Amino acid sequence: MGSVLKKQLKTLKHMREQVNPSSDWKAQNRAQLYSQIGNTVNQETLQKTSAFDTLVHALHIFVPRSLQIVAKPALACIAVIGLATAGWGVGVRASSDSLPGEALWHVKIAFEKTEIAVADVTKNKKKEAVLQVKFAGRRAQEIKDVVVQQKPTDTQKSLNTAFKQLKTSIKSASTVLDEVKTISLKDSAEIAEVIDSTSEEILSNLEETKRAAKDISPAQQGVPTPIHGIVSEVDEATLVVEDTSIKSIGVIVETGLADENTDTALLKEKVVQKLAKVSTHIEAVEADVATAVSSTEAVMATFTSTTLAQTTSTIAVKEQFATTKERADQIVDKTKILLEQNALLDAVQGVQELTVLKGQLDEVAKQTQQTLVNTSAGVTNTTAVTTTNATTTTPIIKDSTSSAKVDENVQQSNMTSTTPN
Amino acid sequence: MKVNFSDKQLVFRVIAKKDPDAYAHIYDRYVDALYRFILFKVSEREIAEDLTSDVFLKTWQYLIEYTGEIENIRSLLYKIARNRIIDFYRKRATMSESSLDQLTQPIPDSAIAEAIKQNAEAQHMMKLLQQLKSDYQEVIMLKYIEGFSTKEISQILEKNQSAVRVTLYRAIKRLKSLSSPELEDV
Repeated sequence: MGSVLKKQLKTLKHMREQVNPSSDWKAQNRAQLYSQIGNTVNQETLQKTSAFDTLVHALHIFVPRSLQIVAKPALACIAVIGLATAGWGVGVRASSDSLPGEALWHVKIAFEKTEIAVADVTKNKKKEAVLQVKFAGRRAQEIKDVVVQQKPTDTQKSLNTAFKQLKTSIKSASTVLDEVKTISLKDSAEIAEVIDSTSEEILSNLEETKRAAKDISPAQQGVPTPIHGIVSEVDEATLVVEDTSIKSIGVIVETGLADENTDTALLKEKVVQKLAKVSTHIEAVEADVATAVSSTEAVMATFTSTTLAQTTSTIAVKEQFATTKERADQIVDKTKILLEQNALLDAVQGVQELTVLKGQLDEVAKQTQQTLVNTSAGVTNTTAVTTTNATTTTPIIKDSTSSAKVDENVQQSNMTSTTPN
Repeated sequence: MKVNFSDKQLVFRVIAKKDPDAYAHIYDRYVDALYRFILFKVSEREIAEDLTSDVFLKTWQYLIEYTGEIENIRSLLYKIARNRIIDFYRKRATMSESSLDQLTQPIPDSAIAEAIKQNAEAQHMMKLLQQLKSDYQEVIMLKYIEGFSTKEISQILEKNQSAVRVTLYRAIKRLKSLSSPELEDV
């Protein structure tokens, strides 16, 4: 452009710049504008601006358009991670109090599975075991809450899932404990301590659940949920938990004995307490069975004609219980001897075998209860009773092996006992 | 302490925080220039004041409902101002049955006219500009009077930069041809 033209345009520009709006108008218009725009912004509008929106705005304003091609996907990734993290917190909080049968309960389970998956991926075995035990504890608490609060029967399916989850979690913790034991005794001892303390809570909750379930009449529970449905689940779960609990005590004892600084009296006390608990439970079951058998016999005595099958099944159950109980008593006595000899690891094995027998006694006790119910109702269900009798025969045979093991340990212990006190 | 925010910082505060104070800063920064731009087009102070107020209000609404990209707030203000001026003339054209092109000729108001009259060079240029068609006037005014870059002009006129460059080239060529023959070869 010609310099003369440029000069003329510049002059025109300068001339024009000499003209300004009046100060009064500017101030007045500013105040008016401020008021108008202030009215357009309400609190609701402000709340709608999320952190993500703010990031997007910043991206559009501060990042050159050429870089936005790269920046946008990067921001999206960051946002997804951020939202997932935020969502995690919100989801966990929202679902934390949910119970089986409630919509958010499955969300809680999903979150827990993710946590375990993360621990598994990161090869953090210790954390994985602790999480498994923690979640098993949650299931036991939830099951108790559902049964005690007498939630509707449509929660039955979720309740079964909860029992399954509880058992799976405990078994997984037990497996991880075995794995860690081969790598680090210290870590395995820490895991075992967590399992041991949590197991006590789980067992306590399961016991309470069983009591509450027994108090619910079949009518309250509704058809087709029989009373022994929950009780059987509780018994199965209890067995699994006790088995893992004793295994953890075994690890605690083993690692404790390997450490010179550990007080063996404390270890011994742990085994003694466990033995006492199992023994007390067996005594209680014996009392229940005795009551049930005498009640059944009393009911049968009122019948004008009692079938041979009824009499045979009652006697068979009674005898089976007596036989198993006798073996249990033998194991208790022998374990006590092992404890006196400070053969702690062998004593732990004795408690472990006693727990297996306890499970069998629970099963026989259930059969006696069922026989009583059937007899009282005047129902002759010989097939059912005979079948259940057949199932209980097998473990009793296995018992001989258990008892033989303890005998063997006692003999060995007598020979090699060094009394570490 | 007075903080000198950049245009982008102010726009961000308006968009993300709906901050009226940030927008007041933008107002203070551009009200004079925008007022002159509008006054130069509409020639009446009162109309220029009304349109200027309207432009700032519309720009605020645009920003708080913002969903796209804002590269330059100054360009945005001028773009909205230009559209408001066109609307203004369109309404007036409907009322007076005058052509829009005729009405969008820069007719300086008395104050500007008076200032220009006092300078022969400015007066001469004003006459030349008035002879150009509105597209040419617009690009020359935006480039040499308002001081916008080609990119900014393209944003205001909503044309691509090549089209702006071509229009500007033709406008200057036409301006030269209108000026005295001795200037044509300078």
